[in-house]
Amino acid sequence: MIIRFRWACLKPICTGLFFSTLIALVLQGCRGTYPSKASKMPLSYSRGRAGYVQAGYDPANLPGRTEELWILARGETSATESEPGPGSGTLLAKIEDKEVPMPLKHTDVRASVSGYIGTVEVSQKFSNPYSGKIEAVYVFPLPHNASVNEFIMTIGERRIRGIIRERKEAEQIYAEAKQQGYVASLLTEERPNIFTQRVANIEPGKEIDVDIKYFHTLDYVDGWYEFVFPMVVGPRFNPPGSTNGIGAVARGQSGVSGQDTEIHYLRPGERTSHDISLKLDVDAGVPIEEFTCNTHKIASEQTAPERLTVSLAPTDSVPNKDFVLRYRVAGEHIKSTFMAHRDDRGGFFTLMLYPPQNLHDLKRQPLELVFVLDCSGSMSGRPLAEARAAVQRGLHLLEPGDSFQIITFSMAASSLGEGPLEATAENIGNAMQYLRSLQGEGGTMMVEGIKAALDFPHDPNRLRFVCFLTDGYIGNEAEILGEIHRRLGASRIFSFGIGPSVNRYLMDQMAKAGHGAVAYLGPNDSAAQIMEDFFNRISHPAMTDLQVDWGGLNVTEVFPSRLPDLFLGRPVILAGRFAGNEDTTVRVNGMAAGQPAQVSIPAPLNSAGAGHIGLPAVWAGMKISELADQSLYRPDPELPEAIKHVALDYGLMSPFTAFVAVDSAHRTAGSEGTTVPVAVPVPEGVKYKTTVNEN
Amino acid sequence: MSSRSAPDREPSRFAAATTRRGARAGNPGTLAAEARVTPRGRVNAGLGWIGWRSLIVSFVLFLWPAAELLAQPPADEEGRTRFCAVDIFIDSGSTPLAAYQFRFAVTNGTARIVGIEGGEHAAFRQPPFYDPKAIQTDVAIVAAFSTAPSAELPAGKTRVATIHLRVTESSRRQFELKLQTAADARGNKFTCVATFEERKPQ
Repeated sequence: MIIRFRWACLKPICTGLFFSTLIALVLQGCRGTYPSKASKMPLSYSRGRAGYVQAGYDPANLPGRTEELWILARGETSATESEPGPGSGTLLAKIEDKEVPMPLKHTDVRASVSGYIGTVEVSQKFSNPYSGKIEAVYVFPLPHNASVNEFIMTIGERRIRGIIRERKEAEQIYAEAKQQGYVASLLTEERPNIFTQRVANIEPGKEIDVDIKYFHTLDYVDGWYEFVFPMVVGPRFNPPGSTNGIGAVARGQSGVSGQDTEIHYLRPGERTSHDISLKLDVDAGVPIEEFTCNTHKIASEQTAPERLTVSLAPTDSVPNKDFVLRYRVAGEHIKSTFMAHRDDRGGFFTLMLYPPQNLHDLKRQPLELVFVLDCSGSMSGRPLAEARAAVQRGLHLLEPGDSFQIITFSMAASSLGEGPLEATAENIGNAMQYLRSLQGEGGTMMVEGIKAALDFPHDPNRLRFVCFLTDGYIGNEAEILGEIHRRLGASRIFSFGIGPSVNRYLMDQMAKAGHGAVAYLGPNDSAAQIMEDFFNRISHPAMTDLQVDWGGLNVTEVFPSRLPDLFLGRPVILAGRFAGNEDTTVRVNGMAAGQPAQVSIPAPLNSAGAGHIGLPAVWAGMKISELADQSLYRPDPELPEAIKHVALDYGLMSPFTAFVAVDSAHRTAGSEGTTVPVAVPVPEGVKYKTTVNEN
Repeated sequence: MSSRSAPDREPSRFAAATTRRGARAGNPGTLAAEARVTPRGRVNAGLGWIGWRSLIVSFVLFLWPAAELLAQPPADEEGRTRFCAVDIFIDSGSTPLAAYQFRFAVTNGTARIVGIEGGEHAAFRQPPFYDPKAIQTDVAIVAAFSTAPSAELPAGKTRVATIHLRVTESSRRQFELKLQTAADARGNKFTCVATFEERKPQ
């Protein structure tokens, strides 16, 4: 108290002396410079009392903020100007070896699947390899349908559960804790599939773990369940003038992109010690007939016909591409499944709805296909080659009576012709030649591709399918989805994600908004097979105009609220709330090729039926997703409040909520330290040169 | 009348306080009024480069510190925050504690819960779960259980959790703790005593 009183008296005088000295220096013509960023011009500051010296300058460390006296002095210069600047020692020594130490050491993923619900625990191990205190900032991906509902910070043996708060309040709490020297962590959502983890006041040599847990539903694609864990965010392109996108910058170049969120990428030839381990336990409930992982080397064990354990091979631990495991379960005719869970909040269910088998027997109508290829810089090389191969296969699968068109876009859109082209041998030959001429360069003005494809003259005698082939590396997802909603008309959109680390949120949402479906073409997948599966799907009519008879169930708040069409091989997952205790049968009625069709699903509520503790989180996550979708199409000031309300009630991450955890039991010495963004590798197969902003 | 407003009772002090609050918030109305009293052109006419330098240095040396004195909040003014930890103890006597649920509330809105930590005994070291809806009003309904055998459960007084809080510096905090249930290894409820202690700030 005495020290504070004295400083309160001294502060104005010291401030006056400080500024008057500064102005006097300026008036005397002194041309000294003052750093604006730590990364540009590191300084040292020393505290007389403790003799503590740390490189790096931060305005927050100035006198007045910490109520301690500091002596500013020019310090030793670092090896290179672009270093993030937390200090010396390890940082500088290892840069010579091209291994760049980063505050994130290891990511451990432990996942389990029960039925089609996945439970995933992600543990991020942060440490401080520098000589001064730091704040680590890590931008990382999660599945866009992940319902994140648990956040724990571990310091030594002490584990602190984070609290869900309104985002602004959580950020404020974190900032205050950081400024006052407490170890704190903050998790925010930048996009449904991009999150930022911040850990403040990591002392030199200390480790802090942050554990995140989420639930999500698995995709079922053409007979295979698919478990995906994304490991790196691909470099996004942001339209000129935007500031709320996701910037891609070279390591240590904060602020270069001008975007609110930036991902720092390692330069070619650089690496970090950050690695990843992953273990997945699958309990399919029915025998697993086969499984495959085309993205990583794995070790596997099947302890029972319906159980499978998969681990990432230690030799394949660089987090630079999505992990994708696919498995096929027994049974020629997969049946729809109803899962329920009750707690003190009421009843929750999910319904996985499979299309009826008789869709196979129905003939297809003439098709109009519009292929839209992303030819931007991020598609350069292998991704564009895969996209080209897929379109070539698609052209071969066209039948007489069909028509097609090819549109490409990077900074602008262009097309093969002005209208639909008949699927003649000559036109297809011209298209093949056109495809061979394509190269990947420039930005990703996807909105131009959307406009060109959806405003394209429509052939009313054919079913129109627009196929987008892209990696989805853009930062303006909301604008794209809004344009689709406005311009869709009679078109159906099928999105094809191309590459090792696709923006799955965008691809899934494009298909959802376009009343179509999504498919992914990874580096080791067959482009021809993906296109054949797509043709198989669109060659049979979908089950449309779905209506659900819930039987004896009193059902409310079902999401998605607008039931999508059922395509062959593509089930739909619904989630809702219910009241009632008796076993019943749910019946889904619709039309297929002009004929009534029906799917019946038993709902065993009284007897022992399938259930899962994660269903409330899954339901709340789907409600948040639906409200967020609505906000893209119709601006409503009440929607953010509604999203926030659901997220807070169910303890979930959202754009308007965040997890914060503070260790108030221990206050670290010194100032809040230097911020170090965690740099990550560009995804495998993506060219650094054409995608990352180098100043 | 006994219900007179503050300005009626002490008009001069109220006016002074209003001015200070306005200055802190950068009230543009006050600045505009001063500019009219001292026309800018007249000041410019009498000052050369040397005079401007003197004026700036004088301002920096005297006026700025004076403004700082007026603008800066007193050390203990309401609104300043710090962080503190409150330990929750349960005394189960001679019976090993296997499960508990308590309700910890900040009753006067002076603190926000910013983390919940596990206890000292291995059986309760994992951070307990809380009700996300209740915690938005800073009511922590916290529960935990252990399936360990009785011999591996804590008996007597043990710290089962720590509540981390952001508190307003000067105001008196009011907490309320209620043990809602406690059970032994067989699931039988029994009577325990729950207490809390605020750790001394570092």
